[in-house]
Amino acid sequence: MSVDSGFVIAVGTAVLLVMAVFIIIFVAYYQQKQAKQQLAFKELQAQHRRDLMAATFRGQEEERKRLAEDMHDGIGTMLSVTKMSLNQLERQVSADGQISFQFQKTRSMIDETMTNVRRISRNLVPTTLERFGLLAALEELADRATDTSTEVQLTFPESDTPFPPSLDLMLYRIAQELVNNAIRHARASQITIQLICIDQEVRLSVIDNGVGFDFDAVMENKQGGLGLRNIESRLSVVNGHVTFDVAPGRGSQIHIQVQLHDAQPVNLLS
Amino acid sequence: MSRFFSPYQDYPIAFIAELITLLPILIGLFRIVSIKYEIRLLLVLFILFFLRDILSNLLASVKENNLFIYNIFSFIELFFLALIFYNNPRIHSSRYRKTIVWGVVISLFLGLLFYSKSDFSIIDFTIVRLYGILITIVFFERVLSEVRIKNILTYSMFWINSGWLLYFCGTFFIFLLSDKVLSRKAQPEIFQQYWDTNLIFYIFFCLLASIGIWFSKYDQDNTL
Repeated sequence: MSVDSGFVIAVGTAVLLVMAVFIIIFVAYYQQKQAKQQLAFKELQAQHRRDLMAATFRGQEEERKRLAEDMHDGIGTMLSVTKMSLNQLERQVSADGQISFQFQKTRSMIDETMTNVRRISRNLVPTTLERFGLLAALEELADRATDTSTEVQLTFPESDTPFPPSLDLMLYRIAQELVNNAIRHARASQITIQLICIDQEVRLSVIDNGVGFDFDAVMENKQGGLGLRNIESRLSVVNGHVTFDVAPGRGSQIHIQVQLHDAQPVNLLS
Repeated sequence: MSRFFSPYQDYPIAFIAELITLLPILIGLFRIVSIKYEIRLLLVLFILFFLRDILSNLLASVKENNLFIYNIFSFIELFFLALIFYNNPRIHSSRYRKTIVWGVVISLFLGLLFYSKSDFSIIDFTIVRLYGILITIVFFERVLSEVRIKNILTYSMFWINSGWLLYFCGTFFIFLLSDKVLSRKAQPEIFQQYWDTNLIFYIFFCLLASIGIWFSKYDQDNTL
């Protein structure tokens, strides 16, 4: 072997090895940097999504509030005035039996409409929640949902831990949606709302004895499952979790978990 | 039997290299449940490496020419190299796969063209190394472009690829000039020196591949 071959091999191998080592170190260093940036970007995207969701819910609540005020102050007032005017008209018109019956019928229709307006505006904005807190609002929700065919119970701990108002509203809306689903879709006769606060975690469960549902089928159907998706969206704002223990033909158990420290920064109330 | 083992006293590095081939195989068998298809292919390649060495030793012990085994094995190595990189699920690029396929087709064609039975097929070995360097660099380029791996230091193919790149780069010039240093024309001490260098790079590759196979268990969770 000539010296040249040995020299060429030594130099060539050294150059290639330096290149290989440089490539390996560069790939390791650059990839780690890239991965860190990617993770930060994903976190930023998730935060942005949460902010958007929070803004959407805030907008929704504001719109509900405006609608409720318009209904109460506008339609409600107009109906009151209409009723007064009807009473005056009745006094002015002679007491004919047939006309008197028509007046009474119209008055009862106005009363019924006023009751409906009040009920809808109260549903739109849970004033009890704003004034007396979550437990009172859930009690009211359970009372209103209870009728001859359905019994709604509320169980909660003795010690009343105050939650941030945004979390109160979120839990109330979720409970409202779940109770509504249990009555309308699962045709449940027994519904239990449980609210527990362990350490720094809030757990809300809605348990019913209804006919249940196929969770996958509901979620696959783009037209349906809006309420459930809405619950997931609301929880994503506060990094909360929902567990659906459901199946067709048996009662459902839906559990919500929210960490209190995660729920603090988001404000859904205007 | 003593005729089979006695050369190991003269060539201790060859003995270590053959022994170290068992390391990735054993780790692979230990991790067999969790390893993916491309790593299983690598295991098969290491088993074939081991069988190649045993067979060549047997032929050497009966004073038979065993170079054809190494020459044939360069095709097997080329084929497995292509298969392992082609089947990597992390890389989605179709151009990457086309490069692998075209590369292996051209390399096989050239390899068959310059195949030698009685001596080292210089071109074949050089082509394998050139192809290996090309696809390992293309693989790294794809890994950086597609950004799918969370931590490359715990990614199996990073270690395996690094091992291959170092092995191919370290032995490229030895095989390029193998007619002077590894052929039958070469002086025995020169042959020994360069063959041992080749084996040292192979040992290094086995060690890095073993680390890769060990980490393959975590590949599934190592995704962005």
